[in-house]
Amino acid sequence: MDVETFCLRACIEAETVRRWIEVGLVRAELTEADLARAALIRDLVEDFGVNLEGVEVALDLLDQLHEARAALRRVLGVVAAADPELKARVLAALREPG
Amino acid sequence: MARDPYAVLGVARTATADEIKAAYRKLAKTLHPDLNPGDRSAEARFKEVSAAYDLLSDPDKRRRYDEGEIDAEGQERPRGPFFRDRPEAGTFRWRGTGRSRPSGLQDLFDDLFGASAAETGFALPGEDVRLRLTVPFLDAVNGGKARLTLPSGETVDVTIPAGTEDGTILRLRGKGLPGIGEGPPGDALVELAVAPHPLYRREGDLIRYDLPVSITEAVLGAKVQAPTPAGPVVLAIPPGSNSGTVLRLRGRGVARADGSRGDCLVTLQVVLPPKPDRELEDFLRRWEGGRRFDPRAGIGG
Repeated sequence: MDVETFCLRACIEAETVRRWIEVGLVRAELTEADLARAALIRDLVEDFGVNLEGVEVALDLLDQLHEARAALRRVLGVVAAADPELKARVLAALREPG
Repeated sequence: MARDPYAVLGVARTATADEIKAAYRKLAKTLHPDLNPGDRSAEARFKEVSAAYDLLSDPDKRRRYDEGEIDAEGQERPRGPFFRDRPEAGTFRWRGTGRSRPSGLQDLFDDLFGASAAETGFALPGEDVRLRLTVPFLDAVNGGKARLTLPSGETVDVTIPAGTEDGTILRLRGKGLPGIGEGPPGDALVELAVAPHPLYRREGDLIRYDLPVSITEAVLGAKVQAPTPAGPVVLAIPPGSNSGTVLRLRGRGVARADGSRGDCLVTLQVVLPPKPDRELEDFLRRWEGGRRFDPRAGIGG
């Protein structure tokens, strides 16, 4: 989408979006995913008082978390499609503490 | 009526602006949906807490609320959309400019799959993405091209195969989400919806439509121009044709993969001139054959 629509929907200034694109927090394509990401960055900055350095650290960790969740979802998908006994053992292992 | 915003944030009615901000930050950090991607229940609580904060952090709104001028509803800024709800959320580490690094999961997969995994690198294929594309009727019948924007923002030109049916799924290899490690990217699955046409109807590889003809053309026969998806043709109307007469135009229908085409079936509709014609009326009053013919003979009911 164009910068104007993006800013309107995310409730942020065009100048701010340009800076976020520059430092690589949001991609220049400005898709729906970038919009959701910008809304999160806005909340971190405006509501939680996190500075841009802190936002970069938080988003990098969050991206790793999403990546790990996506990978785990796929692994569990393979497990679920495989053997019922293996599935039961994986479920039991996930319930074990630590 | 929304709950009392002071109770939602857990602060006294005499709390200072700083105390309100601190209470909000403490709660919001544990409730923000994007900071709790796995907790579906956090979203409703987060919205309630942020609505309370939006009201109490604005001195004017807070005063009017305290004086009973406004209630706690409808004072909040919209929140979201939330990044965790995007299917692309797990792919951003590859897409950022200069922030890309190898997967943070490498060591885990190495533990799980041993040294061979460590040597070759763990790989998982990327997920497929699903899209829908509306195709003009004639592009589906004759084949054509369409431009499509993928969720990644990339635009691709796709070929609509000749004879495409409604609901056909095109697979664009490698246009889905990226894989993990050396894993190949997923595919984009594009479902094609064929738009209706004002004249043509489609039955498999047949095209049907109604062609209006004058009473003169129907009775005496004529050569008329008739449209088909493969371009207009001259159609011979045999003498004595009727409304409902079906004429077949071979090889003028839906294109097939082998280059041939189905047929086009034209149903004639005899249409009288829009204004009553004195000469025609005079003739019909005198016309004996017309009086003797009963078109309803043998009709049941």
